[in-house]
Amino acid sequence: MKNWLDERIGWKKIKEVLLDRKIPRVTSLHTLGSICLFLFILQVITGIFLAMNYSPSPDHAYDSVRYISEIPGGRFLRGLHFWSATAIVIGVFLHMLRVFFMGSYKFPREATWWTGVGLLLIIVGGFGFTGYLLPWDQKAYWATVVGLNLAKQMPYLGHYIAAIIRGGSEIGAVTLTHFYAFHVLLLPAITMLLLGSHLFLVVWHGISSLPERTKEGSGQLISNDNWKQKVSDRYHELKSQGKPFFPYIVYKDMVAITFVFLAIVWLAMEKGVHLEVVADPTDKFYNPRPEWYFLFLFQLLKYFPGSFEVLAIAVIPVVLIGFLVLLPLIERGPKRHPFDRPFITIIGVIGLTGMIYLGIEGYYSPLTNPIIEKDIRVLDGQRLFFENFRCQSCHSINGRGGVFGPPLDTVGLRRSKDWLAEHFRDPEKVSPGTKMPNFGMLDNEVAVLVAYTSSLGGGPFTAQAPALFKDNCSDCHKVGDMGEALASDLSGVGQYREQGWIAKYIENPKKMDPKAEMEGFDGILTKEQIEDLSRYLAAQR
Amino acid sequence: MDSKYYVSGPVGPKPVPDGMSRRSFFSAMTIILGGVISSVLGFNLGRYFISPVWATKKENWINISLLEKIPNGIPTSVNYIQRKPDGWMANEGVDTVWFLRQGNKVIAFNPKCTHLGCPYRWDSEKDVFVCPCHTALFSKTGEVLSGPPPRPLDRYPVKTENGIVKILPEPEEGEI
Repeated sequence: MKNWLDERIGWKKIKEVLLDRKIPRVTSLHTLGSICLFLFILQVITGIFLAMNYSPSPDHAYDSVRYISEIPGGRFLRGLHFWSATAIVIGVFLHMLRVFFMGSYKFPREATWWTGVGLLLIIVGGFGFTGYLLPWDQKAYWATVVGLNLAKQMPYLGHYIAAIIRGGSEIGAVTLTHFYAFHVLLLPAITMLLLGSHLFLVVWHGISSLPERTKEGSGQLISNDNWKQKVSDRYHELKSQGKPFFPYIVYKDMVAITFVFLAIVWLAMEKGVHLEVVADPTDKFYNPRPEWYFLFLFQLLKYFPGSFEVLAIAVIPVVLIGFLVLLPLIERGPKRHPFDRPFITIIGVIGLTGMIYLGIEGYYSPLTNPIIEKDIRVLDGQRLFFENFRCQSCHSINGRGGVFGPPLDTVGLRRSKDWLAEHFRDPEKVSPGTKMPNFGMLDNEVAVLVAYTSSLGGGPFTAQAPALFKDNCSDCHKVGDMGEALASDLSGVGQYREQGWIAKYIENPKKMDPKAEMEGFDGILTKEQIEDLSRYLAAQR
Repeated sequence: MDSKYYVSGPVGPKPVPDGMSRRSFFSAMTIILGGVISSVLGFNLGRYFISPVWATKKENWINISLLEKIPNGIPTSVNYIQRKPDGWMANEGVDTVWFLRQGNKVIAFNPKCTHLGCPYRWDSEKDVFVCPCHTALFSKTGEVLSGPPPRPLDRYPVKTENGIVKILPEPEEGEI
């Protein structure tokens, strides 16, 4: 068998060059590169299968991502894709730190370092940014808005760059197909090239040996004449004392990879992937936040007001990337041990500390808007109501819509959920002689429409409600002419808050907005009173 | 040269301990761990990929017509709009069904010939369903009279509620 393979593909030579090659003594940190390679392969495999059930169009992207979760194994695969993406960001970064502090980027491995920097930028900046938009939820949409506006602020070329990435005049269908093509076609192709070169160079030069203190291990290397030859000789000496790549190094890699894989499996199963509500460009209460690995940039922007912002957006990143690219040219010579080149080590430590500090500051910086819990089914129903079945052609809500059918402002109070469900399934059955057509709605469509319509309008409030407001709220809040506007004026609160939200807020404001100063009325007012009051407020438009 | 910085143990092949050498132990462990990862991944990719095989269709009764509007004793085709789930979306498409009403009893025929799926029509002069592809003939109740079809016309489940005829169209096994 082995002879057969050898005659056809030169197996003996492959085995000799790849598997039997000697590796000098390495540490566990040297498994980071293999972990990244494994994670990339995992990304490719899970990505291919996710793409089978994904539709890159604003009309369908969000629903298709949810559909993936309904397929057997789909939720798990999406979890693997998401969490291994996170892990790969950590992985390439740690791998870079290892190479940086051990001076492995130095002669003769400069080209290996450059391909690695390319991979780092493509993975974090390219894949991260484009993959983020694909689920088309709130987080996806707003992260892209912010990202594109940052690109726009780059001097001179910013507007052109943003226009090219965006594709169309605004973030929409063309942007999504652009991002999808980048994410699944262009970037993987570039990555394959860079990764192929990177791996070839790793094998070509051999895995770098551990750095040695110049004065102890290899003092003679300091002399400038012919140091390259000496570095090379010393490396080959260490290499010849090493162990074959297979199985000794592969085994170590495999153990590390297994741990990482199990961690990702656990995260995919336990945490899953959070999908927010569908992208809504009109939402005024969303808190756009970058993914945690961009938090340091996010925080950095806060320190550069006005026209100085260009420093944070363009200058600092360009300096950082330029530093990484030029590093093997700036810092040359045989010294590799971090203590033998204190200057570069200190730069690295300062840079790293800065990033971590900014990241933590960014993480703990307070949210400006309250977190609004939205019922995903109500929103689904709302989309069906307006976009699919166009119920507004006949029915009105808040005075907008057709007059052919009854207005639905308070339908949630007037009709039970069972009645609504029957009504959607077969209008004739619950209202004989009705003009409402039978749309042949599917079961899940009926369910979300019921969720939406039953949430509509708090319905009528009792005559006690204004008095409740006067007694409990008017010391701080104002509605029309009643009360004091010490806290927010609630005269038009019904325009932007639904009754359910108001009720929850009155009950326990801290739950809806951690920074709320108002005390909850849970226990002070009865459930019925809170309900009544919230209907009264929801009617303030 | 000081050796403590770069060599961790004796150089050269280790003495082989009883049973298994370090080398074959590491090889075996590598393969086992690789196998564990591949099977976790493979199992989930597999069930995701082949899940369409056992995907179940949901029952979706469709209102077609008032019973009294279907002519008694004469096969009649009725077009209807069916809302079908299609992956993550729902599609509306026009379909057709052949009804044969006998008093209060209604039979609903799948409008495709059971031979190769061609659309057949009702020939009222000869009182037969005629399939144009291979001139198959079916009786009023769907029995094969002549031609290649392997079985009578397929029927949809049908029921009448409040005077409204409803059917549950489901594609036959293997139908395109």
